[in-house]
Amino acid sequence: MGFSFANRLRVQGTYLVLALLVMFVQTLHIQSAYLAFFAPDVLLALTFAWVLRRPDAMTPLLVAGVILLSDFLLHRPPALWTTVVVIATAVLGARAHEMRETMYSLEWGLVAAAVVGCFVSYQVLLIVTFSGPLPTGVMVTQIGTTILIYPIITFASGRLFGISIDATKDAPSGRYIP
Amino acid sequence: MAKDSRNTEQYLTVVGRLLLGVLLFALLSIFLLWRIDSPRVERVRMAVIDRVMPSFDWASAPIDAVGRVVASAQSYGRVYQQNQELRRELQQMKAWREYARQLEQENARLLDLNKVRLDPQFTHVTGVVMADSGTPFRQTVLLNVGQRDGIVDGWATMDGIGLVGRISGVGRSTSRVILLGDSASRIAVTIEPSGQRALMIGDNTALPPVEFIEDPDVVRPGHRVVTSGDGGVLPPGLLVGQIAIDTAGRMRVRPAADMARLEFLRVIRYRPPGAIDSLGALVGTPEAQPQAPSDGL
Repeated sequence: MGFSFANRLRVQGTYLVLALLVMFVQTLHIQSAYLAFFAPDVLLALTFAWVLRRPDAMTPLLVAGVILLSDFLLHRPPALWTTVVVIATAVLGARAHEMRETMYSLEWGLVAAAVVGCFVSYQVLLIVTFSGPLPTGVMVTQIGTTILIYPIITFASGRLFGISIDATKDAPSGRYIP
Repeated sequence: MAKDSRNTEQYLTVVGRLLLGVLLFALLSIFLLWRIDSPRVERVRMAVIDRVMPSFDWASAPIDAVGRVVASAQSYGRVYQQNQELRRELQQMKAWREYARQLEQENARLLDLNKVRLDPQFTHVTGVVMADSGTPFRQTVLLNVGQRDGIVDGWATMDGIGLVGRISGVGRSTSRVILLGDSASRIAVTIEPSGQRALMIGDNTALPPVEFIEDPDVVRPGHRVVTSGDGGVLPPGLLVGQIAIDTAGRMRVRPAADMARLEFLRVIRYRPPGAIDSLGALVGTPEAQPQAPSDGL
């Protein structure tokens, strides 16, 4: 049997709280240009890590809601980044079941490709809709740092919140159902 | 494997896909709404931020404190540099302070000089006022300098600023000064910007009136009044005061000297210049007619 409704709800709640925490930390008034330049998109890495581990809990609606909130708080054009991330999450979630049996480096590679795809399509959409593209240097840096922190996020999720591949290995019904 | 492929096909159910499509459509419409009518969506954004952000305030205070500690830790490294800069600035400020003091002293000296515009050949005898006139109908003071100090009748008397009166009566060690306001005081004055001569005759008030002005229309209140030296009685150019007009429209002089506080007075030694009573050599005197040339040239 899959996870219970309460368990799923707990995971969703944890995800929501974590997302809020990340956004709070990002909006802190730390006057450091270095941190602003090298800040990774922690929310993206978190979303991808959790959708690969608990695809049953990470419904598209939840992901869309959280990313939309981050769009509003972080002054991005609303719902554009949300669209891109929801599509990427759906793609990853569909493969989550296969990714369980693969090596971690393959998973990391897939997530890296997903991150690059997200940013590139976001940039293309921004250019096409004349919404002001991101500066390329900052974007490339953010892609790099986001991919680099992905292992830290997966490790922390496993240790702190119990969201890991091993925990879902014995639940064949933990599938991504959008 | 076959079982896996069948399960793979069931991942994204038809309803699931439909719902995902609806969600994406909703998101894109939100974006299009922002693109078309940005202010409205921005207002929504500010409302969202307004609802969500204040709940962060309670936790941001310790974070801000940590940030401030970090910033101050960074500034400790610059303390030595700042110290050196401050020392340099202090040296510069000290030099400026010395310069300011010197300027102040020079200024005071120049102002002091400015007050007393006397011919350098005037010398003076300083005396102390001993007594008043004693009656309200006369305005005189008694000085403690007299004949033994070389005081001569008729000399002008000034305080630090302007003319006070004239010596009238010299004793052995005292002398009497008739002040400007006394009814017996008559001073020949010049009203400065227009250069008109007039006579300042006291009438027992604080502001003696000016008589015999040739053209009263040119004279305005505030014009400077100085002694004219007419008659060789008083030295010319001594400051007397300023013109003032009383309520009856009469021209009076407001003395520049502080008549209410007379303490140290200077008696100006003045010898009138000798009278010129002969023609100059250029014009030739009647006794010195050139003789007719005798050799018939």
